[in-house]
Amino acid sequence: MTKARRVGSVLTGLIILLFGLSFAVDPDSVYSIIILILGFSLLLSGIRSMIYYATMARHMVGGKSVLYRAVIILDLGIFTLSLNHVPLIFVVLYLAGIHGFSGIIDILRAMESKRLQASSWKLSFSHGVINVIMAALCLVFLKTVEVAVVIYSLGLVYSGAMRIIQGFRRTDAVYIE
Amino acid sequence: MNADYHYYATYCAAYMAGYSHEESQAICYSAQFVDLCSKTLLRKNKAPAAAATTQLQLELMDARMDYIGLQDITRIWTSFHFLPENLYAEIKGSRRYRNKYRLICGPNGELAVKTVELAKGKSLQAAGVAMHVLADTWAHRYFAGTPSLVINNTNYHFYELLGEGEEAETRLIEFRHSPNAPDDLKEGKYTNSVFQGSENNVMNLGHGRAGHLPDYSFARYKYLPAWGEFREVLKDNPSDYLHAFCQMVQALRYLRGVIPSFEAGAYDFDTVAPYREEIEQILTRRQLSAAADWRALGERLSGCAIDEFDIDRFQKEYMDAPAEKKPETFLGNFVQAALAQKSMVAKEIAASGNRLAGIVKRGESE
Repeated sequence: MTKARRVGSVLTGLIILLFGLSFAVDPDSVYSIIILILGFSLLLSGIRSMIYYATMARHMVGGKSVLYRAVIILDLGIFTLSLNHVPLIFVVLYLAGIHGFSGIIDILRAMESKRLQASSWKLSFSHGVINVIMAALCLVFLKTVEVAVVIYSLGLVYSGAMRIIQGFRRTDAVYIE
Repeated sequence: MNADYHYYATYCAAYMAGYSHEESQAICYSAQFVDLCSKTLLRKNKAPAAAATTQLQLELMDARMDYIGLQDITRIWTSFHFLPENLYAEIKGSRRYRNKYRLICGPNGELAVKTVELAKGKSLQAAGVAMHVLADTWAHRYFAGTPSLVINNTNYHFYELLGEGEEAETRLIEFRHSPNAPDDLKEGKYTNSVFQGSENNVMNLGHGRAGHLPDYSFARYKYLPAWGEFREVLKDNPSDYLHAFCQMVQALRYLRGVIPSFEAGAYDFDTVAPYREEIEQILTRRQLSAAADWRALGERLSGCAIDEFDIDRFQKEYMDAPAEKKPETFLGNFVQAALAQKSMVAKEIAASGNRLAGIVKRGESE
């Protein structure tokens, strides 16, 4: 990981951590900001991936996966932005769903990394498991929105802390001669 | 390619081309030093960091990944390890894609000839640098010396060919991402870099996704390069490494003044003929390092013991020399050769309208 990426990872972690704590304290005023930031991030990421596919990845073996990813991210971004005037319970449900999905992806990646003997699988696995547990707990306590909000906030705090830790982790690379 | 080829095989090529034992040692030392001359090493010796011919793992991990940082990486890796085959290759696609595609490494390109010509009349160190670059055009062909997912990526379709001709057995290669685990040649398990979906991620530099397979002389494999439009590529390292060896002998004979010119596609098979069978045996033997075999051949050729490679060997001489005498030292000559090669390649890339290795000021490319 480059120095810039490390700094970026730590800063993103701090911001997520801050939002997590604010969300637990005052969910009504913070959730729309979270939704806006998440929505625009996904939208921009989707557009960037679309441009990357159109100009570069369409020539690549297996490049279609870039297009599929771009379409999914773009759709998620548009959908997220449309959630701005929806009751909190649905927002929490949706956010928990996104975390649950990314948790499953993390677990699958960790299992693949373990199979390929990469050393980084444990952190990714634990991150994935926590995300899935958080999403499941949000679903269980969905009727009590306050509890679901607290659970989601704890999930955000955990994600922020993980980002900060990742910023300080040593990274291995295969050296080319 | 590894030290076995860049050091000991280059020694053999130099001696066969007519250089003395001492001269051959200087050439092969310089050829191997290209893989070790990082900015960290140069700064330690108070030498110009711009002469770096490689980047250490940590340097790569901490390299700037903005446009300027990418240009720095590209200048180093295209100039010394992934010399582009055709800077004007025609390919459909955006300019951004075309610029990356045109940096794909391959032998017998215009730049390979210019690399050898650049070393003509220069030091033995310059000859060594040129031999490293020339040899790597064969080993690293089909990969580019710039971070690029769309060029350097590979997928699961990766098979090793065991045996020769119609009897060759095809075995699916199992890649793993454990940088410290040695490759398991018997079971066909090789270490490669982790897939990174970001185009300019440093993990997508060179042949990381194919692991060390391009560096093994015995390896024969087929795969789908990311840029290849689903056409399978067969990489026959024993044949490529033999061609590289014969081309090095040809180039070194040109540098010695035995032949008047060096042309692409010319190989000195005649000089190598008496040793060809033994060389082919070395190249096809399945082993992590062929250093002992090449060394034995080299020592038999010259009748002299070849020194072990020692990275520190010439550093003190450079450090102790007064400023005006530094260019005359071994390391000083190497630095000049490296700067000249990097400048030539960067200018040629820029002159082709490709800014990936930097921008050249008006008039500088002449």
